[in-house]
Amino acid sequence: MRRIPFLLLLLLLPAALRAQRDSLGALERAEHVAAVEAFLSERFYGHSPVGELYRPTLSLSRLEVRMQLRREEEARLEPLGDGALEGSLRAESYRRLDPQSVVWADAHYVRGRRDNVRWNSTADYLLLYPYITADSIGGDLSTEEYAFGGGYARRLGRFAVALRGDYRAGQEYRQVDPRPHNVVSDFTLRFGGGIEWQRHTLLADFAWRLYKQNQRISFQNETNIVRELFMTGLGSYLPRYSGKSSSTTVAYEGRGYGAALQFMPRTGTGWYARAAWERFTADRNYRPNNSIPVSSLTTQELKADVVYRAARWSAGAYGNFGQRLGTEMIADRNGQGSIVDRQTLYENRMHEVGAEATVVWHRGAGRYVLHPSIVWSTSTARYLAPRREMIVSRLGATLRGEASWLLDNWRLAATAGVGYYAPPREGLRLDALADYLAEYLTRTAARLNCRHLAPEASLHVERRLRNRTACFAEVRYAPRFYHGGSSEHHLSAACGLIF
Amino acid sequence: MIRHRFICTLLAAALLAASAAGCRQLDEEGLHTEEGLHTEVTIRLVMPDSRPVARLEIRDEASGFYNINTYERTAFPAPDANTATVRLRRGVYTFTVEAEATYDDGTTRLLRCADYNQITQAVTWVGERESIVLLLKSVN
Repeated sequence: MRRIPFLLLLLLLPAALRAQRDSLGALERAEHVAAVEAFLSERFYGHSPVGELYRPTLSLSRLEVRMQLRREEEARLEPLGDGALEGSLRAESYRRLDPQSVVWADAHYVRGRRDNVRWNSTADYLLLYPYITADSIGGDLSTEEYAFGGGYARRLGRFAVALRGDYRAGQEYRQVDPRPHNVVSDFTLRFGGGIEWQRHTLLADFAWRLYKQNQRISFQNETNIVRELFMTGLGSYLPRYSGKSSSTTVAYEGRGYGAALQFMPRTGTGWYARAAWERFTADRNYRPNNSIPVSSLTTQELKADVVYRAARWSAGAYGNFGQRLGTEMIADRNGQGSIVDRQTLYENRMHEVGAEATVVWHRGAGRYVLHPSIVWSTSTARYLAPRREMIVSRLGATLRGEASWLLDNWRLAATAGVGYYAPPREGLRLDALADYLAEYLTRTAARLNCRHLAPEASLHVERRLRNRTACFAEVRYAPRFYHGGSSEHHLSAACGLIF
Repeated sequence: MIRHRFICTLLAAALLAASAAGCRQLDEEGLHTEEGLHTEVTIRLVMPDSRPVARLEIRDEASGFYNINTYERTAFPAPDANTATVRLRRGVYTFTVEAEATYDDGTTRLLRCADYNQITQAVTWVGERESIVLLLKSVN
């Protein structure tokens, strides 16, 4: 099964052979791609599958081995642990077959470990919270994931069509009590169309998603007293299903869809705008009781993005508005397996707005980019009965600089930046909550609202091997320093080939 | 050129309008209200015989409602002329009521209704208003 992503890339080889033979070498093509990425408009090509047709880059493929390390003195989010170590193998390719069509694909395999995960026994925590299974003991989790995807876009006269599919599968497990074993399957299909008019194009794309997670939590020690809680938000849980037996089996079933409109110039400078909406619903089903749904989570997200790109600069603003609604199912008497009422008790509203700009200039063999940005975001989570509320927010500014040089057989790129974030607004209300849960949530709110400094730096080096092949090595370091003295560190190192 | 810019502006406005409409849609969906989460249950207590009752006193330690999903316990309300009203969270309940009846002639009797105190006999109350009639039986 793990060979599938790489078989997919092998299938692309005939297309690659038929692809336009770009006359530029690997280093020159990589620099061309990086030059496009220096402008904010670059993200519009990847948002829509049809947008890939208008990406002003040349064919480029990349194969890399990457290691990522995360260490936190105090876990910012205990459900994600206070550390992680992952190794991955990644491959991606973008091929312009001819002036009318492009094909692209990517695949990755990741194996790793997450340390000291507490208050979470469910995979994909950020997708499924607050409807997760949790306990206060936790432990280290072994993780494994593979994913592959690809797409094809083609111009038909003034029209364009595209299709993209992505599949992800993974598992998380622990071999000491409590022993969760979660298996995830996630499939997304996107298709879109576009119409060209003078120097602009109007795109529309649609997405459809299917998600499944099977969870089993077991205990080898028969005298175990740890209770697995079916969490429902801000410390609440479903007592009827929590801590019932020596093992817990849950199935998550999700389905989603989305639509987007995008407007952009066919080439180069001008206005880029996109509005997108996505909806995802995941039911949590309790297997021992005829797999009846015990809760249902619906997330909706609306995103708007606008950028103006000029010859040497770009500026843009974006807004993301999200809502997460949690509904608890009231089940009938044991053995009946029927739902008699649905109560929406949890809501989380998230707002984020930001503005940023990039300025690009050249001097000799060097290209230099300055990227300032500001962001404001807030998340308000509420539980109805008993009344509880948590407000997390941040206001931040960052300044990032990048310099790259293309020499005869080398390409070097270095980035450095710094950001500062502070919470403009905080709030916490936890009525009628057990002490151990109140302590956990109070700690979480304090850490998420903590002021912090976020510097970052990276170095990327490419060396030409032959005209159309180069090798590269890269290292990135991004620590965070929190008010109060604690810190966290993110280190990433990779090496590979581009061709 | 002017027409081109006018149409581009219209398209940008259409995108922004779609975003605003989407925000409004998000705003309209939300939490249940407090009223939508609760039900008002009217309980009529029927005595085992026709003797007039001077006072009916609920024994709190042996009476109450138990929500089988949330495990919440709610006290049985004091009746007024053999009728009691209680505000409960909508759900499925087991309950017991035990009361001491004092008759006009001064005698007392312990009465109980345990017809719904097992999970298999639980009652579903999910409407805005619910009602139930309980037949009290003599214990002593």
